[in-house]
Amino acid sequence: MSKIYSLSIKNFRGIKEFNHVFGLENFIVLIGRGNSGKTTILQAINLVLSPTWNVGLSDLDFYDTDVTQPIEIEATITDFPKELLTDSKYGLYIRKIKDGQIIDDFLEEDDSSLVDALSIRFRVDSSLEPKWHVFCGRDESEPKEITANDRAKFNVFMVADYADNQFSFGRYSPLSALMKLSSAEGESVAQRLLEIVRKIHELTAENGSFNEVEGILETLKTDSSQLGLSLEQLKTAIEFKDNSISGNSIALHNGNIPYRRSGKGSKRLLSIAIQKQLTRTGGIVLIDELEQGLEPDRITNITRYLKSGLSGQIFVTTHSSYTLVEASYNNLFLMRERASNLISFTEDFQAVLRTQPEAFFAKKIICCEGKTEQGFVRGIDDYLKTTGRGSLSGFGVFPIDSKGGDKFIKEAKTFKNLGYDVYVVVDNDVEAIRDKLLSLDELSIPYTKYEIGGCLESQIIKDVPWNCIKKLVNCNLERFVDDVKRKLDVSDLDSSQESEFRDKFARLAKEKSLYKDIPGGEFLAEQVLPELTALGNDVVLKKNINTLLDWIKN
Amino acid sequence: MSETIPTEFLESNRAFLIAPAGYGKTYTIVSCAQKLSCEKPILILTHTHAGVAALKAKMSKQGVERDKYRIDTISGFIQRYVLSFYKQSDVGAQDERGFFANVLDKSLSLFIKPTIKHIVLESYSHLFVDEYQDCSKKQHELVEILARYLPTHLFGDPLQGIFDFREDPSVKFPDDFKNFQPFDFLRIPYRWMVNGNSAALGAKIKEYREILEINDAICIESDIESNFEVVCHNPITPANEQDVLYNPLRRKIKQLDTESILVIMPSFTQNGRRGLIEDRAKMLRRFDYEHKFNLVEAIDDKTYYQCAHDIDSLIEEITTSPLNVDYVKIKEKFEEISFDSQSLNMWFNSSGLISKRDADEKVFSDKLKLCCDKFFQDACARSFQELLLFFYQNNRRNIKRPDLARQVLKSLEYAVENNTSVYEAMVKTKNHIRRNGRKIYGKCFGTTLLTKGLEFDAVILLYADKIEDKRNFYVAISRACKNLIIFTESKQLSFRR
Repeated sequence: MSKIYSLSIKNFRGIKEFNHVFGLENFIVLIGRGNSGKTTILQAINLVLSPTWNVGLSDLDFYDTDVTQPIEIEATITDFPKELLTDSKYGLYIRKIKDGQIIDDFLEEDDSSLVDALSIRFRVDSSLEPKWHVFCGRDESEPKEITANDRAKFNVFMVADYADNQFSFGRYSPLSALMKLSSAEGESVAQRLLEIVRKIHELTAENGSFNEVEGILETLKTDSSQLGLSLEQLKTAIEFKDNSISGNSIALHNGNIPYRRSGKGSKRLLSIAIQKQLTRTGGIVLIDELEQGLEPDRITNITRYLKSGLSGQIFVTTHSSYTLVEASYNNLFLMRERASNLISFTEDFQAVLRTQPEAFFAKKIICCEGKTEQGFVRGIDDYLKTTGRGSLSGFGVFPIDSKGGDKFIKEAKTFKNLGYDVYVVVDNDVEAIRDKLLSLDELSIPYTKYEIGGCLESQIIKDVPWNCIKKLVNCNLERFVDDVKRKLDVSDLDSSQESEFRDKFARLAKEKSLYKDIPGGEFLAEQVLPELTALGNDVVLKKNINTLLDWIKN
Repeated sequence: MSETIPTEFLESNRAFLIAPAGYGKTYTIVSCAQKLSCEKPILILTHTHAGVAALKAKMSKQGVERDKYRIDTISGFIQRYVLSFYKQSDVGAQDERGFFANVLDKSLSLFIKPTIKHIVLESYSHLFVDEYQDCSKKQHELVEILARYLPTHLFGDPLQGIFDFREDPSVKFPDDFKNFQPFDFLRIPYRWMVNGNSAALGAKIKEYREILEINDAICIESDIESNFEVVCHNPITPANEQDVLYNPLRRKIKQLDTESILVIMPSFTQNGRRGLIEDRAKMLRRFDYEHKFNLVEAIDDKTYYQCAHDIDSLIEEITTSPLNVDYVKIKEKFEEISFDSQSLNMWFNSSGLISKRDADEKVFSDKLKLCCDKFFQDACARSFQELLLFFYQNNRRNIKRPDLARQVLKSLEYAVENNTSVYEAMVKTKNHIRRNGRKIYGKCFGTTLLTKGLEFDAVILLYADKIEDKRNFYVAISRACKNLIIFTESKQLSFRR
């Protein structure tokens, strides 16, 4: 049972302040670039509803390691187990959800139709002694401490790779929680585990002594008989003590191999299967980096599996575009670095989420009008790398191909509105589009500004030094067939024919779509970028490329 | 106890069990709790903390599991809910007038809310209310609301309904119980059948009860077999009271072969109201020369708070004008704490402390002066405590209301330890007593209101002919387990109610 309705975090790890209302969503996919705090959100949920009192925090868990500012995590829970609603537990702390708001005063409301909620606060200050309280906003009520046992009723489990105990029946393990769910009324998990331990004892007892220690026993028997003590029955057996063999010793095995020794992906899948069982009767499962150790098809499959038929709530973090494509927009929540809340998506985003999933993991996005532009941007990436100036992904920049037309306008605006930095790389040769570009200005989205009627390749052909033109025509791309090569023969030209040739070249490039694909764009970048230093600062091409490079780096 | 609890009663959703004093009502409540098997606890409400303590003790004695029940006072229970959902400004502060009435009013609109009903149903399986005759009409209204969703069993005795407040009158039988099915399967006066008690006296009280249930008048007659004696005396006047009442009373007390004696003074209206605490304090000194009797006080008598408050005021007054040494002020406080005029006039006169010549007396008066001066130099709870303690230890027999003096001393001690005002300390002290209950035993002098629910070997009832309400009469006589003595002007008693 139970669902996180809203969550707020203060001074925890990388998060100074965070608030988000998840509402009644069951499957929550947290996306965002590494280090943005997605995992911290899962850990915060795991802490505020932790079933143990010993959560092992250190100074490093405080924001900026500043222990003078206490860590505070507050979660408001709906769908919680009814037994928590008694007046001796937390019934008198009940809150209600009305029109998406948490309300404390509902005496004048028709409360029969409002959803019940409980709020829990986890707090730890410099003493590092954690405290959990149930609280509400009614002014007379003192927060009431909530015990670890009661917190365990929220059934929160975190799937993490280091947690091998999830494959055994230890006290707080999900398997033992599953066992509890299937137990008959009044029968405790401990009792059932004890039965197993008894069986082990009986099995070893039947087989008599262990041969390995037989020698010692014989000596003891002889010695003691000399002392007048008869020990004919002396033997070795596993001592029957209910705490010597605990639930932890009863673990899942695949054949003879403990399951915890399996591969990362297999462990993850089984673990998710166990957790999902738990959510059948309600519970909150936290999965960090869903895709770890999994092949793309398995990621897609598992996302679909988790999305369907939940009665509990699942939080996952992911860097996988496969998850993004499979989830629907309402499942997705974007965490941006240092943001104080998550960004949720509306239906409008669905198309972009499916077509440009990778972009959502970037900080900055370059919207490329078409393939040439995308290729050219990739070329910029190579250039940055080979000259030791970093890389696009290092700067958190991801180029997307908007696949022609004016689709790039919509995509650029979409990402901009989500808070991404967006740069548009676009030609200036279609009149209809030129007007639409003005709408980018309204959102302060920068874009390339070639001369009117110009496109990337025409601007290049116009602006690059002559020796560079020579390199451009000596291209060994397939489409530079003999016919084209002949037309672009520059060997006999003198400087007076230069501009005439540049025009002809530009026309031909357009006509024959000489660079209209990714390799074409890459080729242009490879040839042109090293030549930029030779150009004057007010040359249109250089201005455009420098602006883009500056944007990438900052 | 042999009576089985009828299944019909156990399974009823609205039942009222009429249970006379000493017929095993508490035992029945415990048995019901044991017999009803349910997942959730039974909510058992009563009126006083003493009642809560008594029920808890009985439950654990009978081995009822702790999670099968929850016992609380009615006002404690509703306060918990009301204060969780209403603002302080809606109900006022706890020590403000009208607080309890406000809380009760709010509870009537709170417990009909679906959310609250849900919480109550998650928390409890049944509602039991003990001493139901002491419920006010409004409390009854609340119980009716709870009974809409919780199976409800009421336990009480209309004939013991002696609490009645003008602002919120108590529930009336049978008019207010139309929604409840009445039961009266408790028929045997068990209390008088246990070892040492007088079964015959039990039968006598039962006989009287049966008359009172239908009549407002009764003729009482001594019955030696039943250890029941009616002392019929001449009309009492201020002049003859000692001879007609107190001296015979002293003789009767002496004759009784027990330490467990309750003398009851009913309160009634005659030449002004009689039976108030000051009145009883005075009476006690006229028949208890040996100081063997405890004067039973109401826990919340307002003189306790007044006294504490006045000590605070005196401390403040002296702190603001320290040069104004006036011993008469000390005398006034001592008077308020109920030291008698004999002790006060011995050491104080109208202008201050009396200087003594007698060597022993001089030692005392010097010390008293020292304590007083110390207090005037540094007026605080500690210096007043020292002063009062010194005077108290040397005049123990001259205190009209020993409990008042003891509680003031206790509050002073608390105030010193916790650095609070004496008033706050008194509130704390009283709350502590109310929560933990107090033991009233031995030889006691009290009223029916103060001793309701208690048992004594012997009960001596004074002024029986002046009792206005038959319920008070019944409560008084049913406290007696072995001997009952009634002082009256007339054997024919007729009651107004």
